[in-house]
Amino acid sequence: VSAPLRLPGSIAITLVLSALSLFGCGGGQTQGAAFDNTKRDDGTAMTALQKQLASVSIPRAADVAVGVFGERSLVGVPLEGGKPWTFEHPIACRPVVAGGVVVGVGTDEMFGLDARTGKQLWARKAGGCIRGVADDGRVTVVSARPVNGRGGIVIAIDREGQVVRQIEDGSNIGAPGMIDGFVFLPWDGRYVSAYDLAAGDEIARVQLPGATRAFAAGGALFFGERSATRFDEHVAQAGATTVTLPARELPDHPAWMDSGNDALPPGALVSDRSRLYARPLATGAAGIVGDRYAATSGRVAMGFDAKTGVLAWVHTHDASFLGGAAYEGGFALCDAEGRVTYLDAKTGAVAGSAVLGIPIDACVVQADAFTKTAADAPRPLRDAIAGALRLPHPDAEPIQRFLLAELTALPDEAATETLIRLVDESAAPVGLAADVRSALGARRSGASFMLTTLAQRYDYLEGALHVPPVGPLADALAAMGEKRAAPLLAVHLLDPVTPVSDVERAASALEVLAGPAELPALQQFFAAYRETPDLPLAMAVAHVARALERLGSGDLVASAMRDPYTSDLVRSKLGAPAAGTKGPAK
Amino acid sequence: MKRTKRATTGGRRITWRRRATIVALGLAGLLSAASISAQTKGSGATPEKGAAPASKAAPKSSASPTKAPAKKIDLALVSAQLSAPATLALGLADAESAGSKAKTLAPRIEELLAKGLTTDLTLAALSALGAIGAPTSSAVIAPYVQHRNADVRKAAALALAQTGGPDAANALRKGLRSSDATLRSLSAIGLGRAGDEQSVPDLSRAIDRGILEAAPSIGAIGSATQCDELLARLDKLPIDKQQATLEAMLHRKPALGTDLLLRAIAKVQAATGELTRAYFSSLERNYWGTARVKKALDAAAHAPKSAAPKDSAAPPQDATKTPPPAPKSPAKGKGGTP
Repeated sequence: VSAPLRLPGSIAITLVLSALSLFGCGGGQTQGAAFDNTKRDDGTAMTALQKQLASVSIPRAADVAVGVFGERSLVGVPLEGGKPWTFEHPIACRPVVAGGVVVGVGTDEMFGLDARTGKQLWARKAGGCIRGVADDGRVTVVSARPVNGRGGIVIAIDREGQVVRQIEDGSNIGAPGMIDGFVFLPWDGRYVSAYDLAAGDEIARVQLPGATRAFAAGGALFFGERSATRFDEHVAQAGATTVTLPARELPDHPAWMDSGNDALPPGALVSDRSRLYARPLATGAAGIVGDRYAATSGRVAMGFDAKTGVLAWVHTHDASFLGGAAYEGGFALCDAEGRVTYLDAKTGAVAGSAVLGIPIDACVVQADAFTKTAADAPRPLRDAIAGALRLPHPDAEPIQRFLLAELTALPDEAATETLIRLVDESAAPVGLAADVRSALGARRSGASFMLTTLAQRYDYLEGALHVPPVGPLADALAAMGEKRAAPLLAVHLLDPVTPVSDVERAASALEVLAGPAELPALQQFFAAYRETPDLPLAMAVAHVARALERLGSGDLVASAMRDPYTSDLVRSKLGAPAAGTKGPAK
Repeated sequence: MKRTKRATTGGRRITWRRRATIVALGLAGLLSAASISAQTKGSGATPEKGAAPASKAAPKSSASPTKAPAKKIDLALVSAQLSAPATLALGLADAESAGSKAKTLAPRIEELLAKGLTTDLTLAALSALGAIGAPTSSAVIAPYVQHRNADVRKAAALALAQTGGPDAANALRKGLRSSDATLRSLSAIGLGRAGDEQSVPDLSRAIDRGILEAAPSIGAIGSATQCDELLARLDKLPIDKQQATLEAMLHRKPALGTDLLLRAIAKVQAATGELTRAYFSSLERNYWGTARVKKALDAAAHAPKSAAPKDSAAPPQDATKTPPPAPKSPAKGKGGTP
């Protein structure tokens, strides 16, 4: 992981001059020799720096949610609760929260706010958009995308608003981190350089492919984007403490973190509605706190096992999630209605909430020392999934398909009952209904629930006006070889209220399940419909004919093939010649 | 042999019963023609996929409220026609025309129906069996009440109303529970015709569920107590159903108790008011029961315009001067003493 010192050597006085034109005059400038790309680093410098900083505690950041509404308003609320604050300023890009500050930019002015109160700390003339911020309580380091979109600008501003250091470079400089006056700057998605803010010099670097952002969590510093590598004694070694979330095929392919090279617009993107939230362990082996990560997809939040990727819980919300953060024991998720909901990491139960008080367009949440868990017993996963499957919003369909597959795969017999209820109540959206029926047909457990449902019949007199999902139940019960289903299927076979597609599937099931007790019903069906010209019904007749043959009533079928009252379609399904032509019946 | 003897010795009773039945069927026919379609709209009917259009291959003579006079028939010839596919339709039509005289052909038609025919021939066979009217045919006809083709269901219900018997009653009771509103109405009418008292609880429930054709059927087959209960909610029914119920009660044999009938007349008169004096006049002309009932009908027919009560279940004044005591415990399924 050692790397040749290459790029930031180009950070030169000339660039500083252009930076000054953007940010105005102020503090120290970078030293030309600080990033000498002729120097090589075998990791020794970074290891030494880590050792030097190991005893330095990183101050815990403010626990706060900040929402953007409209083109010039911010609203924030501490996660512990309290009165929301608002701040009016043109907003050109998504604000960023780090440490105890919120940094925003608009109309060529960058401003810093106290994250807990919304009080303005400083303002500077500046353009571009913010990629990331680091703050140690005394100095705020901002990485910004230049107005022309190329390269990167980094400025360090003290609490008085004075620029104490500024860097401009042709490389993409990502979101910074900071410990005790040392700024960690990921750049070009390959390196992380440690920069001495006071000296204005790069003092170490490490090669971390894919790292575009540095961030502090739980008192530790991490680098990464798709994974998180802890800044510890292994950071410059091949066996760095790196954690990655298990891959799940979720709709919209949510990411754990945005690229630190991107500056986000004020309003929420699709990637804000579908996102992963996890908190890497600050100490010990690489891992995720509580072994749990969360994923959001619109109005649905899900908890997954961070080692296996197995779905653990589902929370269905009444508004779309726009942002959030993982904390010790849970997740703080901010929605479009301006509420922040705390979900217990283990169970997904709601542990509390905070209110921004106004619908918002985007939301940024920072949770560091915050913790809030719920004592509620976990809701059965099948019920929680069913709740999400009942969402009527068309944009929920992709995540509903994902969850339906999860429900179908549950070994729990009661999951069959959940599926039956979803089909019976037509609870799933229209676009998903066929998938739910298919899922029910694919179940191979829960026969008792299926039989109970199959025993229900349409009965106008009793006000029982719904028809059970005969087709999927027939498929499943036949596949399970459940012979107790035969008499019930025979009843539905003959009931005209059974949809013809389900009749075909009931007949198919009876072909294997029917016993002698079903002979009268089978004979009755065969007699009534052997003349049908309709394909699904003809298929059903053919299944029934084969059942009759299996049960020793083949002569009835053979006799029917000899008279002219059996349709050619039915004959063809039974491999018999058409009426009027000579040939033996099958 | 025994059956033949009963038919002969009970000729007068059969005539009476048939006369009542003909009137009831006439009403049923009117109901089915004029009001079933309207009723079904409010009966929670659900259209079924795969069902043939109602206009297609509608059953013919079974829908008729009265049986056409049976024509002379060559049973041997018809039997031969029934044995050949090419002449089967002709044979079925002839058997239907012959009505009960073709009773010996019923087993052959039943056999054909049990094995299965084309839709047109199924309809013809059902009509023929209905016209023949043998209760033994009901078992074969019954499954067709559940057919996916609405015309076949309708033809089966009409046939069962004519063949009667326990199998018919069972099948028609199932028909009350169907998703097909027309079938529900026909089943309600058919159960009145089939004369199965065990169906009354289902018919009563049917009224609750909006199958109003069940009311005249209860009037036709219910016990005095059941009819009395029906009277209590008669004013919740449309006028035509009230009138049909009254007529069914008036023409029952053995007759219902006079007191009950007087209350029924008063109830309907109260509901219909002065506008239907001609209706009561017609009823009076066709009524052959007790003098007191006939007198009450006459009084209703000649009630002064202002005298017609609107909301009273009390019998007309001239019919209640000496009201007979209500039967204390009428025999189940029978009317009180006239």
